[in-house]
Amino acid sequence: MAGRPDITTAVRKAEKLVLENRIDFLLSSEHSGISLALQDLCWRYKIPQFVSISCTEYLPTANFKETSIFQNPDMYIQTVGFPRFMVENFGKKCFIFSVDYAMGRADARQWYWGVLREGGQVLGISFAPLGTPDFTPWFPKIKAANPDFLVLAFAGLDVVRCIKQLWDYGLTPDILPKAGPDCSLLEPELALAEKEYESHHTNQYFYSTMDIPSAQRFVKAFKERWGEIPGNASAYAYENVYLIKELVEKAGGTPREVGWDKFHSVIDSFGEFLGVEGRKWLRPEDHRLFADMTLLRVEKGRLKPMSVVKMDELIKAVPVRVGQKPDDPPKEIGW
Amino acid sequence: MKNRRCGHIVSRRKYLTALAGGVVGAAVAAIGAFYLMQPRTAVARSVESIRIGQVASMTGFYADWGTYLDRGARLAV
Repeated sequence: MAGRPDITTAVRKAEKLVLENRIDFLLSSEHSGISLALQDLCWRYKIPQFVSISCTEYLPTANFKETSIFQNPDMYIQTVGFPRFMVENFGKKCFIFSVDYAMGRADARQWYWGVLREGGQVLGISFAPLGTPDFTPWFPKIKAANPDFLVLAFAGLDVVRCIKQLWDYGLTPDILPKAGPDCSLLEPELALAEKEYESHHTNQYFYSTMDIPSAQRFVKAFKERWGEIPGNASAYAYENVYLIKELVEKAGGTPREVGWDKFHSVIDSFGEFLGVEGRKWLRPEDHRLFADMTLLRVEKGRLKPMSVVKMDELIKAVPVRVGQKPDDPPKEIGW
Repeated sequence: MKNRRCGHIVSRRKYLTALAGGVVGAAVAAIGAFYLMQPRTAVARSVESIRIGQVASMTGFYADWGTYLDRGARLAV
């Protein structure tokens, strides 16, 4: 699909893939709102949905369906250690600027609670629509709040535009340090705003300079095939295909061939998965994949690791919340 | 010299060469077996292709993200 996200069209096309093309698995999607809609559709037809980059926490909690598997970390996972790092290193006062749909709402929601948990204060939350060409109307409010750091929860070219405009407005990293979720910095797009991304903080399961052989083999193979370094989305999609392969091998066939109940039991008993970033673990209750999470800062156009939240710590800090709706921040803060 | 252990008459050089070869061979076999018993990461796996059915990728909603996702998936298949 191309163009602006259109959930109705996405669902219609996915249904065609299921009913006419008779697909066995769906890799979806890079857009949290669409992944949520496809989650319902996949459940209806018992088609396993392998999510590679959507990070709204509604996917593995309030809207969880047994047909969905999440290779990338959702916002509950991404806010275990990251807010602590920002509060300890930059100060207690935070402002959150976020895109106004499922992903950005999740980022803002979990950063709000994460900063409060670490004894910090959220001075305000602002939302801009997806695809906003000019972010400057929001900047005076951010500047006036005078935060110690800014959480920037956009993705794709939105975040590249926003971070460039923040620079031009004078909100450079030395004036206003910035943090953002894994989708706030895709490594292949770092070169589009290298100067403006300097000192930006993010966290990732996978980043291309990970000093482990499996990651480097993947990066080498990806570069040889596509002529560029892979970002996290590429790594998770790659891993999802291998996860499908292992599940099919263990189940003895696809869900159409062996039946959904048998395939589902294989998912739930699967356990450990070796991804390009090392050991991962598929939790049976909510189908999240956990891995070590690295906190990173951009230095001279490269991601430099600052600290690591170990997988076991993430698992303990993120309990199963199937069927539970995440708490929203109070309206008066800008929600 | 007469090598009682082997029951043959062999030269000391041949005996030592055979012994060293055996040690090296055993070490290589042990390392190889250890290597083969290790779990493989996705890229490093000696992949035997299997039929996994039809996988569809729903992307393209977000600038270049769909391309990145597709490229990761295509590298694996």
